[in-house]
Amino acid sequence: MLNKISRIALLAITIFVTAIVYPDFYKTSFKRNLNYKSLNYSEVLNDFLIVGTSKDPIYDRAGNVYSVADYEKLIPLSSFRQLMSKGMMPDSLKGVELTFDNIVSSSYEHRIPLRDNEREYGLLPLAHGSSEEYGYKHQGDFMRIGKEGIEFVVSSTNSVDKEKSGLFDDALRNLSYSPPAKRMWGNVVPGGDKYNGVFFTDQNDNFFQVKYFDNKPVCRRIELPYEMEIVKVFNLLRQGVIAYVFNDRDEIFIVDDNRNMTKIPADGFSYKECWNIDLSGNLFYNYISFKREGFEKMIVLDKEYSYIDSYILIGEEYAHTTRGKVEAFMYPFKIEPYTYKNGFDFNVVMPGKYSFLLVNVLLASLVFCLKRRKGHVINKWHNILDIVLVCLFGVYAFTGIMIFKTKE
Amino acid sequence: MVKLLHIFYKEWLKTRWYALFILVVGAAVCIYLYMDVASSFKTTGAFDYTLRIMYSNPQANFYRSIMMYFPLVASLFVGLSQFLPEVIDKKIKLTLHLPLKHNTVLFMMQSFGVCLLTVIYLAVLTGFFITGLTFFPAEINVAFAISLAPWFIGGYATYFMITMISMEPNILRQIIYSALTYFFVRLFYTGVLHGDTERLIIPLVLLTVVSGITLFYSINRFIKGEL
Repeated sequence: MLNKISRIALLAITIFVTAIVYPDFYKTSFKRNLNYKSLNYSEVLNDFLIVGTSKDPIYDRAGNVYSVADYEKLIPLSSFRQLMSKGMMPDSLKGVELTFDNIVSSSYEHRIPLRDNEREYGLLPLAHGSSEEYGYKHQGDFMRIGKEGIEFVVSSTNSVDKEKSGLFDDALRNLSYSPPAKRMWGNVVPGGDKYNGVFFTDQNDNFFQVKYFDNKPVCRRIELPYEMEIVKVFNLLRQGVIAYVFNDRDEIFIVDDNRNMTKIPADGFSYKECWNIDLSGNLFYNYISFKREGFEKMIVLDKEYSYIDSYILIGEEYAHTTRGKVEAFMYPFKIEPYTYKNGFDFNVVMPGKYSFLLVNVLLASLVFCLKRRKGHVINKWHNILDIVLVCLFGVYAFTGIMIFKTKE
Repeated sequence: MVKLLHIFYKEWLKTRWYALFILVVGAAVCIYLYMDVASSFKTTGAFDYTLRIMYSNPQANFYRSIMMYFPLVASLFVGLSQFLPEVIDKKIKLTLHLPLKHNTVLFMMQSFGVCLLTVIYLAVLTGFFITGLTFFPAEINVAFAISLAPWFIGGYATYFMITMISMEPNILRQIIYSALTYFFVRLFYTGVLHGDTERLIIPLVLLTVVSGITLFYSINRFIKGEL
């Protein structure tokens, strides 16, 4: 009996290992043929442009094709360096003068990765700023908000600075915070005078900002427009806006200098599914663009973040390619030990719904015939189990049964 | 019970010097790693080095290159020192003629190996974390522990697979099992950032527990003389 159980253990290991190795080998055996396209918005045409690789044409929603030179002219605020060097930069657009200074000062671009693979230590440096000196500087300690409240751990001694911790704790208790912090976000590199300190949410999902200026704690509570759980704060070094906030309802907010939260229209955005989100802007518009496999949506907003236009670009998903279809036919499922979005995790992916059943049944019939040929008694439980395993796990279980044979 | 202790003693006689050697290597590794950290603290400063460990890209990782393979090497030493003398010239036949059930004897042999590995791992990890806590806050040590966990769990999985391969009587099958073991054990030796393998730990523990009983498949084939 123990022999049979140990064989089942070996079959389980083989199924698990081959569910990783076979699809991985299959995928890397073929040249990648990605049909990559991305979206851009022309301030001249007031229309979206679809841009592919260097060999692909650039075209708008109506299907009009443009050369690279034309394309640069259609997006003068993005390609102003090329246009200025060629002397082709227009003097004005939509009645607004286009100068180097006003283009640069109004342009911004933030690519926010929505990956879930980096550890949140619960320790962040809080830089110190002074009215006598430009910028913020690290103090040689790390901030944590544990059960006891806020603490500063001095790196050189690996001990808590009780005096400084007490100062901040008093300030935060006046704002009614409930330690420990649920999550903390902050910039590790202070980056000049636009440093915004550390943001955190407490046990009651209240939202706080902590800064350190002139040896005094500057703690603020940011009022949420309604009850929500914040899942990510992207701390900005930008004039007028201090952070982008993402919540558990797939909503995005901007937090301005006065700590007001304004919701940005971002229909179709899914924090769990999207790989990254680009938030950018120029003299005329703000743009939001988010991507996941085979999908990109770009939303155009005016300077007050009101909706103007949007476009969804549907690309080719791996599952819809010939390779993907063959894979779905061959493998009932696959295990991916690493994904861009989730990092290290055993993600079980089903390439197809039922297309694998044919291969599984064929392999199970083969196992049945082989067992009959070798004179096995088919109605014994371990032989039935073998056939059931091949029906369920296909080529993976078949490999295991071929390696770890039974003898009667 | 006394008979079982005799088996433990027999296994101890085979493995003691190898175990002692690997324990000394483990201690040396810990000392070397934290001498390196102390040196980095002096040259770059404690705060900057700690910042590099948590947030630089790539992260400062003083232990990965050595600690990653220490459990693997330890399990190879213990597993091979325990089972290689048994399978060379089929000396295991003598053990299997002891007045005990075959499975009981093999289970006790494997249990001894697991206990020995646990002692070695605990000694090295205790040294690593006691020293680590003097340099870094607990949060960072937790991240280190999460990174180390799959590698040390992998040490047990490697040991179990070594015992299974050692007892297999057919060389061709030993090669096939070795190939499977390579892909299986490779799952444990992963991770890039500190503490990024947290979600792998429970599945890997389950897989290791499952691999713990694979020895009985080989020993059954060995007893039956299947070639």
